[in-house]
Amino acid sequence: MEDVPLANKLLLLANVARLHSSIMAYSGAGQEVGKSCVVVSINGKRIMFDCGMHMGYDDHRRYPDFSLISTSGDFDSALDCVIITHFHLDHVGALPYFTEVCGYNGPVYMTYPTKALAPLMLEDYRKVMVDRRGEEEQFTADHISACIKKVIAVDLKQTVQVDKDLQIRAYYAGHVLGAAMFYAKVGDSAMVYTGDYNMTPDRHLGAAQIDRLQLDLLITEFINVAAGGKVLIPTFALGRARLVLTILLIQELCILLDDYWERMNLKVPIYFSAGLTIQANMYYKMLIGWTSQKVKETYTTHNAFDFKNVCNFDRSMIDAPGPCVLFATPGMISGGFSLEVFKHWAPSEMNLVTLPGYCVAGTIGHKLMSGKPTKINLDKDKQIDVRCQIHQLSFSPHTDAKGIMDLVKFLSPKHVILVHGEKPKMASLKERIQSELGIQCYVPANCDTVCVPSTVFVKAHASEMFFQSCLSPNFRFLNESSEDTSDSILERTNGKSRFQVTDERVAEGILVMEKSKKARVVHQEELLLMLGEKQHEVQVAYCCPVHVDNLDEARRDHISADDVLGLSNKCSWLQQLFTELTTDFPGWNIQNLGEHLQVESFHVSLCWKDDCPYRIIDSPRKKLAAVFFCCTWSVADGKLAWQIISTMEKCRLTVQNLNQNTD
Amino acid sequence: MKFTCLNKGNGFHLPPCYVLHVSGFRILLDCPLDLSALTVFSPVPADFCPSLLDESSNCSFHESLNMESKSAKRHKIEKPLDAKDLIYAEPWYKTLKNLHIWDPSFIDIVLISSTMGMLGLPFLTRSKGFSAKIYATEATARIGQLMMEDLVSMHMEFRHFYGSEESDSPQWMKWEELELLPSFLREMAIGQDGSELGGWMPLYSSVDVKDCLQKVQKLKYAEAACHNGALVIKALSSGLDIGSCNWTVESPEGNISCLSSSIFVSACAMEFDYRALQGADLILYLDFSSEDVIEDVEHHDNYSSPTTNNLSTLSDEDNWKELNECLLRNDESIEESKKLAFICSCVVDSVKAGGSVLIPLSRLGIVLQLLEQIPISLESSAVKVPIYVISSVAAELLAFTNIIPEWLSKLRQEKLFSGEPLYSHIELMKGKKLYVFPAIHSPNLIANWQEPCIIFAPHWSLRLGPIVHLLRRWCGDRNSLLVLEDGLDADMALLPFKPIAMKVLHCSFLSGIRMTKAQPLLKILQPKIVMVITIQLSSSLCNAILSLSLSLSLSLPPHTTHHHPYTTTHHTPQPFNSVY
Repeated sequence: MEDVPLANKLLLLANVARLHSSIMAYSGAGQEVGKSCVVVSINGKRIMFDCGMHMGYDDHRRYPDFSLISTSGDFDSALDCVIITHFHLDHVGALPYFTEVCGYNGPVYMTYPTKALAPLMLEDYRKVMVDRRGEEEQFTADHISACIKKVIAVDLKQTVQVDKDLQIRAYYAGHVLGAAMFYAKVGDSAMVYTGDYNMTPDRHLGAAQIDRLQLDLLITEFINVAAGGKVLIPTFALGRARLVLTILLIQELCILLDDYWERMNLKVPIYFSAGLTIQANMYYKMLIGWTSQKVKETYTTHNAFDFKNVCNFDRSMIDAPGPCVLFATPGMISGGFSLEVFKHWAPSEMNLVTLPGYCVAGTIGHKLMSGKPTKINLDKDKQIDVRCQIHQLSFSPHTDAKGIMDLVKFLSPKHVILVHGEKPKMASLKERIQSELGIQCYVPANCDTVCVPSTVFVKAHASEMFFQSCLSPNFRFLNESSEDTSDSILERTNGKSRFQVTDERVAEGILVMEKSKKARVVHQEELLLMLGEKQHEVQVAYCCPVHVDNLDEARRDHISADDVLGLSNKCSWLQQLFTELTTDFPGWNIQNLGEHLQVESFHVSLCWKDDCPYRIIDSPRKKLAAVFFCCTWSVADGKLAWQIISTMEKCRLTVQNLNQNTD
Repeated sequence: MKFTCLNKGNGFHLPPCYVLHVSGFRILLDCPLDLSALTVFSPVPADFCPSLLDESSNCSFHESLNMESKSAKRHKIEKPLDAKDLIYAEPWYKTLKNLHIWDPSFIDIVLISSTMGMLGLPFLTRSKGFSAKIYATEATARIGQLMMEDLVSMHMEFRHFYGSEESDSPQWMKWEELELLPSFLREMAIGQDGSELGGWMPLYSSVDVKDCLQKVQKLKYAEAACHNGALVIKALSSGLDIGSCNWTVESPEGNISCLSSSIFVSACAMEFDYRALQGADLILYLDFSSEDVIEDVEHHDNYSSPTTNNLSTLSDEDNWKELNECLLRNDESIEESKKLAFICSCVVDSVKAGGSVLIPLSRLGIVLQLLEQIPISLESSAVKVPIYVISSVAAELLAFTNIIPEWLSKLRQEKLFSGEPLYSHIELMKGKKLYVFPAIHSPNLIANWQEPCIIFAPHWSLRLGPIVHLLRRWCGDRNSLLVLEDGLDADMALLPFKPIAMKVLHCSFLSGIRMTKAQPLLKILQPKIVMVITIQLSSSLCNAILSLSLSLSLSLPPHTTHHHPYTTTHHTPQPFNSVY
């Protein structure tokens, strides 16, 4: 039973805000790296995480379908910001297209290293597309620089206020230099988008680091690629082969090699071909603060990116005898120097060519990766034999299922969304997250929309009286039975008496939320005063029949109502009931007040009304054999009341007194 | 909330120091050292060469010298100061007078706003019962550590000369000795009423520095640090120097912004992030630098007056834009770069005349710019002389500045994004135009030595470090040049090197918010209350605040003394409280 009259005054303000996550345009099939682009609406704010390009396509399918965000093309009003997690093309490749061709002008955030390195990747890609394939440019070099100018660089852990309500923060992800996980918060709703991350410290990058945050949603990438860098070393440490490493940004590997050469005292030369690699090295030196602690600490004595064993390569060295390691660009052997070297070195099986994790369709790199060709057509009439070993390389560690489980467990978000992985593996991981961690997990397909509820916290002011009541002790004394095998000290000292005192403080109060007022938690007794209302009490009434022996006969003798009244007086049924109850309820203070009996708020008196509204009559026969007692009580004493009533219904009164009196 | 000023500070090298009581937490803001007080000591005597003398011989030497100077002092008390009047002893270091009367165990939080505000920290962290959490930005902590290590290593020279430490209180601190000091020196040492004597401490060790740094929690700019679940503390860039910051404290009682000396458009450090201070309940206006540039106010009135007149007529949005433009106008940075250009031209002139140039290592931002611009000036006037940087931490400091793009100004960050090194000194070192040596007696330096040359060396107090020896070498050469930053009493600083024939260039750099920008700034920030301390309150700031109809809370004026030009450096207000 509720305090109904008061309920009208309590207006709950908690409007449950929705946090929509629409996952659009990612590819999760097969071994290929898809493109990442996730749009999240969180408490009315729309954020695009990553703006990647699919390397496997060369038509419009390489870009995310931006029309899903806004059909009118007004992206500035459709999105509040764009966040890029790291510089790989599958995460940033479509950004110049989006800002310069589609016309998005809002803020774009990325970390300092990403802002520095992303244009190198984009420019390299653009060159490959244009130079090699003569294809119409989707974006120009000017587009790239204009796009990057708009980017706002952020530092790790820096809290960035995008606007009044939206707050974002980057955390170290350890995938590549500058890779970050992003936290976004709007009102009380918060989420993390991980991008690619790495949970185990690498030689030159640290493991992902994040605070224990309160999250409604965690969107995590899931790619399972084994790191190849470690496999490589034994392969070419033999010192016979000439090796071409054709990778876009190879600083990670350079460090590995430089260090290995140093330790093993290898004399095989390592060469850089001019270009991107050297250019990128400049950035790496300045951004050494973003590497692992170990690399960072040595920056004064020796900047790890000042390679000791790496020197510049000259064209005349191509046919020089003896083993060497060469880093050459462009990475996909789409032309330029790497193609020139490849032509010379491909025919010998002693040589090894390593390729980056992905290559644009149509490049030689792509041809080498798809199948094991023995001959490659350079153009219509030129063909070369390929006998060298081919090695595909991915050296930026991605996290595995264990890493994801660890992160999910650590953050304990309310919901998890897995993106960017192979379907069956994602499904099994989803199962694990749901069963082991009890967290709702989703694996949406491309362009699916997932909705998860978000949190709204209400700040409530607590009253003084409420605090007082919380502080008062709540002692409970427990007399434990002897069978109980608790090993309290009390029990050991005096074996028989098992006496326990507990003091579990219980805070009881009332949360009051009114429109345009701050929520408050008050003590029960303050409520009426606060609301300016009178106290209403809920009374419960029941008209209880009590069987009286010989009542039928007595009724026949005294027909009139007056007589019945007289009868009762004489019989003093109330008195009889009083006696009954005092014996049945010895612990209670039952008072006989003449007209009625009272125990606590329970109140009982004889009822003569034939149509008492509180009476439930099953059969007229019963009616004749019983007198009725009207019982009322307040809700709080309900339990006692029903005990008394059940006693009353069982007991039997008599009219014997009457007979004696008439006699 | 309660606010206690321990020291109003003095310029860039001595930031103010104060204690805040917020929501039951006692917060100490900054813990500097008064290094200009070092000038009461004599530098290591001229004919001492640390590598040649052994302990026993220099002890007797020191004794005789001491005797001599003592007898001299007795007769010369009220005559003009002489180098012999200085204290010949291993220097102690002056912490803030009012800090040592605080029980370090009462402090809950220490906030460090700049490297200068950190130099006294090891004294605090090594004291018994100290358990406070220290917050500083990553860059400040790193540079501050290097500064402290350099101080310790420079101090070693005194140790070698005077022998190991004598007792708890050295000879010079005895009253009879202090009585003998000329009145001016005595006042520097012990203050007007003798109360400052307790502030002197023997220098901390490198172990103390290491321990101190371990207690520092290093933050990024705008990283929210949650203290005990009750306060949210953030460091926001102030533009003063690399890593320096303004602190904001969000507490259940309200949001407090501690506005330290800030520079809107900075050539090196990340710009003053004033927008993040918006909406604070209380701003502690702690930029005391406006005193120093007060004469410039009239100079710049023509900038501000049309702006202020226009303000009322503009719409809110335009108004806002106008205010921001007013703050970010680059007149200040143009002026600063003119100063640097002037220094460069003086340097070139001296070198051309065959003299050498000595520049004390003081403000990192200024030094980095000079290191970049002097070679350009030299080249353009076709002069070829080497530049030496001599300091035990120089190599590390210079390497560090090239790997911290996140802490630098927008202009510098552009260099990162275009793939150029942040500072040119690495290229200069490769090109053999710039040399870095850990000490003056480094074998490589001796092998490389070439005069005339340009030298950057510590310490700006001219009492310790390589600069002492170099100054002695060149002070008689009228073609040589010493670049001195204002804020140090030049007469006093140069006393041991007199007579001086070499040229001394005094320069002052912007080290805070100009009065003309205070009003538009406060107008943008719109705090409920602004709190300033009367000692620094010039009427224009007061008017600026009142004209914005912001609440103004004035601290009680401190104990005032007559303003002797020399005492300004050492004048510290009495502790005073202001409660609201």
